[in-house]
Order: sequence, then C-alpha cells, then structure tokens
Amino acid sequence: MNNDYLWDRTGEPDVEVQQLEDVLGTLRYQPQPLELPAEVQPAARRRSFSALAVAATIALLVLAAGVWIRFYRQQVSPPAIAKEGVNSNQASVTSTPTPMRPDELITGPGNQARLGITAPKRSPAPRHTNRKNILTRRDEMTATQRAEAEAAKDQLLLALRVASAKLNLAQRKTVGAPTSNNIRNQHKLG
Amino acid sequence: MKTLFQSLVRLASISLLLMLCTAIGAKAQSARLQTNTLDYLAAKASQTVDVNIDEHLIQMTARFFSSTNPDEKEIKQLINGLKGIYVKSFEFEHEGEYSATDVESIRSQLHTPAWTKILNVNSKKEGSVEVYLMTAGERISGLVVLAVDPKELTIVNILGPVDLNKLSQLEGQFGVPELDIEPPVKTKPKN
Amino acid sequence: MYEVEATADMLLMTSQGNPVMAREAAQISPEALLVKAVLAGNRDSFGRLYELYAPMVHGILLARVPRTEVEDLVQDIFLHAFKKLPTLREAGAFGGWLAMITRNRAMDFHRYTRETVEIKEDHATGDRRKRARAEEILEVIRSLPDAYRETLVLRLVEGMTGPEIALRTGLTAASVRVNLHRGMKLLRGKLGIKEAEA
Repeated sequence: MNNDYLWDRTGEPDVEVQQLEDVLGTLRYQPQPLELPAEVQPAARRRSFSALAVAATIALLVLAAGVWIRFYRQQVSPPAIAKEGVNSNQASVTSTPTPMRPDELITGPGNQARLGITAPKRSPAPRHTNRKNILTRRDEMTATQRAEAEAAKDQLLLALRVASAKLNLAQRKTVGAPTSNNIRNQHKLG
Repeated sequence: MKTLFQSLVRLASISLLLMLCTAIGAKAQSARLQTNTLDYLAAKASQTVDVNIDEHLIQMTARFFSSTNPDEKEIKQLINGLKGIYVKSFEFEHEGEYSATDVESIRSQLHTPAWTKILNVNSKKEGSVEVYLMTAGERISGLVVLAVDPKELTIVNILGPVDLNKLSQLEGQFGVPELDIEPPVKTKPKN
Repeated sequence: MYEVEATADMLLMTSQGNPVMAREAAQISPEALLVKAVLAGNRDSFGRLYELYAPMVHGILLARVPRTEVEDLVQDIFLHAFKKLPTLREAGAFGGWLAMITRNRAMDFHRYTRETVEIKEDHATGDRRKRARAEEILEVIRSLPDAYRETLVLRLVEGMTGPEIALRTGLTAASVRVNLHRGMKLLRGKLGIKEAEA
C-alpha cells in the first residue's frame, strides 16, 4: 500500500485507492447555495458569563496585589535593632520557590513537551505593569495553555491506543484471546 | 547581620528544596528512556507516531476529559498521577529498515536492576513483544513496551503509576478495533 | 441540543514525522478572519465559510446518516452554526467546532428519527451501476469504527487529502494518518472478504 498517495496523493499512485476514489466520488458533495434567512442573526454573547469572568479576574488581581504588597513590604522592612535579651532565632524565614514566569509554565525547563508548540518569546514581566497588560498576559497564557492541552488530548489518546494495542498483542500471544472484552460504545466518539 | 542571616537561611532552604526536587526528578527521569537515537528512522518510515507528553501537559489535558462520559472517565482515571507518556512507533514498507543496534540502544537501557522484564514473547515470523516494569516498593513507577516486528518498531514508555488492567482494556474503546482481523460481515442481499 | 464550545488550536505533522510549529497567538488563519468578520456583521463571510467547510460537513454526515438525509442536515448544521457562532471562543477553532456539531447532530438524528429502509432501484445504466457500487462500499465503510469511517469518507468520497482533513476537522495530522492507514487496511480486508462471498 502506498501510504503517501493515500495521505496526500503524492508518490506512486495506489491503484486500489484510485479506483475507490473514482467510484466513491459519485457520492461527493455537490455545491448547493446556503439558505440563510434574513431574520436569523448570530445570538448575542451571554453577558452573565462575561461579568463573571471580569469579577473573577478582578478578585484574582486584588489577591495578587495583596501578595505582592506583602512581599514588597518584607523586602523593604528596616533591619531589626538588636536588643538585650532578644533571641536572634526568633526571625522566621519562609522559603518559597521562585514563581515561574508565564512562558515557563508552557515550555519551562524540564518540561519536554515535544508537540512542536513553542510559546511566543516574552520579555520578563516588568515589576510595575498596568492592569491592562496583566489581563492580556493572563488571557494569552490561559488560551494558549488550553489550546496546547486540547491538541495534547488527541496525542494522548493516540499514545494510549498504541500502548494498549501492544500490551494486548503480547497478552494474546502468551495466553490467547483475552477473556473479557470491555468494548463499550464502539461507535460513539469521545 | 540579621538580614544577612535571613538571606543565607532563605538561600539554603531554596537550595535544599531545589536539590530535593532534582533528586525526585532524577528518580522519575530514570524511568524515562532515551529514544532520540531512533529519530532518524522517521525519514525511512512510511508512518511515524511520535508522542511526548510530560507530567504538566498530562495534568492540563486531564481537565479536558469528561467525568460524566464513562469512556473518558476511565481515561482520566488512568492518566491520573502519570508523570509522562512517550511513544515512538515506526512502520516501514520493507523489512530491514532498522538495525539490531537500534533495538539494542533501547534494550541496553532496560538491562538495569531498576527494570524487570515481566513478559517476553518471541516469534521469528511476527517479531517480539517485551514488557518491562519499574517499581517503587509495591507501586509501578514506569512501564516500557518494546514491540519489534520485521516492518514495525514501537517503543511505549509510560512514567508513573500505570494501571495495566485499565490500559489493556482501552483497546476497543473510542472506535478502535482489536488488532485481530474482524470476522467477515455478512451483508443482507440487496432487493 | 448540540451546543459546543471549543478552543482547540490545530497541530500539523509532516509525513516525515517532524512536528510543525503550531500557529502562534499573533497569527490569524483566513478562517479565523472570516469568523471575526461574521461576528462583526458581515454575512457574506459566512457564505465563504460555508463554501470551505460544506464538503467536510457533508462527509462527516455521509459516514453516519442515510444519504437521503445528508443535504438537508448540511443546511441545518450551518444555520445552527451561524446562530451559535458567538459561543465559539477561538475563531481559529471553527473547523473542529463545526465537526463536533456535525457529529452530535448525526447522533441526535439516530436518536430521534425512525430509520426507514431504502429501496434499491434496478441500476441498469453504467453511471447508476457505479453509484450503486459506491453505495455498497459506503455501507462497508459505515460498518467500520467511527474514527476510521469519517476519515475514509472525507478522503475517498469528498476527495480531501490527509493534511486538508487535519486542517478542517481540527484533528492532528498524526491521528488522521493513523486513521487513514488502519481504516484502509480494514476496508481492504472487508471488501476482499465481501468479494469472495459474492
């Protein structure tokens, strides 16, 4: 079987595929005009969801601002004045890992997601940014992450199919056909 | 002086945490096979499957599986906790497109105490299938399936706690048939 | 009934297995531009989307519902897509979104419609015989698993290439390639066996 021809009609033509194309082509879509009534309009976007999204974003911003202010205050706090009788070990230090930049969350160090997706290169976030920029970055990160995960879902299913097939092949070769066959909704797409 | 001490303690804590993460990562990494030496086979293969999904991407992707759909719920349960899924599969038009060295480059990584071969099926005509497990205590922490066929070479490497039963039951779902040839379909006579 | 929101971007893989860079957020596909134009009030742009995607919708339906119902359903689906277009979050995901609507609509068709038996005519002339043969083969394709039959119909009936199928449906090129390869293998087997019985 010539896979190139089946894939994109390049390479040496596959006679069987050509014959099937010739016969099945009689069922091909014949262009028809689209009948779109004049009174039909795209439905307006649901405002409640947008309002909720805005409210959630504002809440997140307030939270982030609170954390940032607290961190900033810790950085600029005056040095402790040594007093007689004060135990120096009273100073409490909490160590937290350096927060990852948005682009690191997508293809950060150690994340070898080889799906051919690379995040657009971004300069490090400046300390003082206006609210609009923060909103834009968060939206981009979320949308891009979502897009990446959607694409990865397909890849993941493919990988699991291959893994399952090979495991079952090994099982069949050793013990024969599997006793249980949990085929469920075989004609239902995920 | 106090500020300097605070900074030093903070730095030490961060370093310790990073070292710990690296150690954990290194342990997980050892379940990961190096298969990039086989990438050149893609140019010769009539069909290539090359999937590399790390833990972060698995977690992101898991959110897109429905908890109400029974098939997707099973998938979600299966991938829960996995650290990585890596598949390389090459199908060739002719035999002899890959060498024994290619296969050995994978097998040699599995000839360590960390890996246990739990299944090995050999057939001169149909090739071989080997299944390896890495365990951490009583839990599986890694799986490798190496399928070697005259016209196909497949390496499946899954990191983390794999449920083998759930994984093998996946075949047949989502419209994927079993590998066996389906029995002939008896068609009704046309009027 | 068949409301779908999708944000999937598309990933293409070349025949050599080398991953191609996915579209960056800054780049907008022609389809995405058309979607944005429709949302801005340009109805003609939807006509263009219809021209681009009608073969895909037709093919997906042909793989699932009786042939006589397909044309009406194509119109129905595009009408629905036009009304629900504002719910699409990512304009570039129009193809995948539309494909999912189509599949859902096909499922609903079977759920709510009593199927009737098609009466086969006596196909005397050459063209009709060819068409009859085509319908027989289509029935065999329909007996294949979902993932394979849809891709095969789009390839063999609608004449779309593998990359085009991936581009339009939002599936990855790797998945499409596997579906085509394995689907074709199954189809050959079934047709071969069927011919032996005949």
